[in-house]
Amino acid sequence: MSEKMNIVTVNDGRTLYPGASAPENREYNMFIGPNHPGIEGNFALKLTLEGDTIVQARTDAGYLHRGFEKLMEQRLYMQNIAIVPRICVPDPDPNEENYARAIEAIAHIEVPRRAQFIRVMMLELSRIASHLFAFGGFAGTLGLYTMPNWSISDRDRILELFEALTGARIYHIYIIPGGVRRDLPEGFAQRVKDTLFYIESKLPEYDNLLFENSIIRKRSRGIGVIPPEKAMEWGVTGPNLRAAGFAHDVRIDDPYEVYNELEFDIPIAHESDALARMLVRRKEVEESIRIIRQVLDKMPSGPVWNKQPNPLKWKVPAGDAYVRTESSKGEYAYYMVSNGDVRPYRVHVRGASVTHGVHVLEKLLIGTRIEDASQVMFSLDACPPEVDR
Amino acid sequence: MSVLSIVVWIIAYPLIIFCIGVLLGGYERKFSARVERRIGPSWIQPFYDVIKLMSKKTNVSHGYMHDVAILMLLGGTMLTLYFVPVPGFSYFSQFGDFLVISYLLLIPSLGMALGVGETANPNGSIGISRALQMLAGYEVPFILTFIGVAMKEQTTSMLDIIRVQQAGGFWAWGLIAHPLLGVAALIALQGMLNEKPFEVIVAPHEIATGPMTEMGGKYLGIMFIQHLIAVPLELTLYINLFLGGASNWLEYLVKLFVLWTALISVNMVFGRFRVDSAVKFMWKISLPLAALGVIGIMLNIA
Repeated sequence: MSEKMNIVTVNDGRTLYPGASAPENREYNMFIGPNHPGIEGNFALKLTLEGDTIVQARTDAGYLHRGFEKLMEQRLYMQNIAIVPRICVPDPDPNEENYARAIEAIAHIEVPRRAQFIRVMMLELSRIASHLFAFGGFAGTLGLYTMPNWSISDRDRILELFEALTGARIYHIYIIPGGVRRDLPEGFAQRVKDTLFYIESKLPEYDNLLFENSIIRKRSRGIGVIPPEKAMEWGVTGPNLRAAGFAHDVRIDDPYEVYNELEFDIPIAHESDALARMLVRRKEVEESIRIIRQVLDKMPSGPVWNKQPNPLKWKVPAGDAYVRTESSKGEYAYYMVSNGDVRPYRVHVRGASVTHGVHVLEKLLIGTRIEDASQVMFSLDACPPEVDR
Repeated sequence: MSVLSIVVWIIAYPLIIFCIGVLLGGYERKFSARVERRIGPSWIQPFYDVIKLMSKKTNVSHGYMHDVAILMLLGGTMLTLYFVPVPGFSYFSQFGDFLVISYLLLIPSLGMALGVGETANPNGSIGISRALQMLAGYEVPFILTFIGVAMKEQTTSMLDIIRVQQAGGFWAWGLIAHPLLGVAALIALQGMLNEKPFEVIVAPHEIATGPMTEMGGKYLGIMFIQHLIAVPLELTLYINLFLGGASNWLEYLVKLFVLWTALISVNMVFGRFRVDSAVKFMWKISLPLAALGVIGIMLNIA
């Protein structure tokens, strides 16, 4: 009896849902996230719908704001190495790469050849891991839950490689100014080759299950189209831009490390829809495997780190640098300013996710039906912590 | 059948079917886990889920209609159950044929619509509108397949249809004797069970589990119980119409699990349709197959 008395009756008298507008207005509000199976990370979408169709979309970021950029101004250069990978969890290495290269550019530090090859290997492994994650997320939005389990368990094999090399599965803190933290352990190259062979052998299974799945293709074709004429204007980069027909890739256009010594293709598509974006990523996995194999074959012997001064007292000379990397999310850049102190004066992170996950997503969602909102978001493959940075 | 045994059956039958539903639910979770390279939970995990949900204190209600409609959801399913014959229990089947069953099958959907509509959550409302659209999609071909079977066997009694199939042996099974109807009903059954590619009602990534969004505690527990009874109920319907029914419980369970394995295998390798595509598929594939089957029976060629 006492339990019954405590029951609160909500919505008494059948009032409208709190998010609904007046009855004469056919629009109502809906939220996807921050607590929703269809949201990508700590993020939310505030949608206004008419029937099933989205008429207005606002992204709601900030749930993961930890003030990385400001934090970096308070810490020593070496301490920041542990902060930067946290800016993008699925693909952390481009952050380490950019941060290290920015310091190297300002301080004119030369990186040993072997370290450059190792860095490329790390970046490409990270790209594959990130794409595998994206395949799973995208398939999940369309109800194909077998795919996330497969691709994320395969991604785990790459995380095991990271663990063997760096001691950490996600935040490697491995690429440091002047090179990399340690050399490859014995037998590691063979482990990488075996893992690549395994992942390559799984790609036809992915094709059968996801990329050639008639229902998936039907549902994602023509959805979330980025108009090619608008792609540049909107600042789209990476696989999302290449799916719109532009063969733009920082690894080719502005090569860093040893990418100019390696042979690889830039997969592109022209449809610019959700399916095309995922297919470009699918082909990029093959290209990354190709790159890593070349790296392992061509990797010279030698030191992996150009030793730097005592990190507690290290003052990077005054100057500034803008460096960019092709990450799995798109073009990833750091602008660093040093005033000659032991701490950076300013580190600005230009991630691809603000563009894709906020501005482009808000545009693409208008006119999209509610059932496709999640797949459009996952097809852009943004990274919420990177939006908040 | 004595009065006492009827009373015992009335009480025991839903419990037995619930237990079978728990095993089917656990099997589905174990099966999908193996396909997905996981270990999966215990075989009786659905039972633990129900116990947990039903032991929760109810703090929020959405009003009288919400409470009643949830009971209507479960009650409608249980009522339908009594008219579906299983080995050893077919007492009520003599009072209600397939037409009664098809009417009663609508009650749970309407109960869910009323209860979820009362919560006024847009995710729930969209889920309900999808459920009703899907109902229009699979109900017509499913009824049509039954009409075909009834025309062929000259009866609407499910008991008689089972008898005819069992008398004729394997080649008299509905799926073998009139394959078009069998396939059409199988597709409709996949939709009826809300399995992919027709899993548009719950669709977690789209509408945050739809009708279940606003349900919690005992309300969700009752929905779970209803689902665990509805799965064997709907599978049994198909077994009775197209797989020769069952003469004993072992045969019944084997057919149940084999059919369920086929349906959840499809579920594992497909994404979900958009709701309009799901209904279109039913009307473009399942319905014409059923119609062709009926025409075949009318022309005495199938």
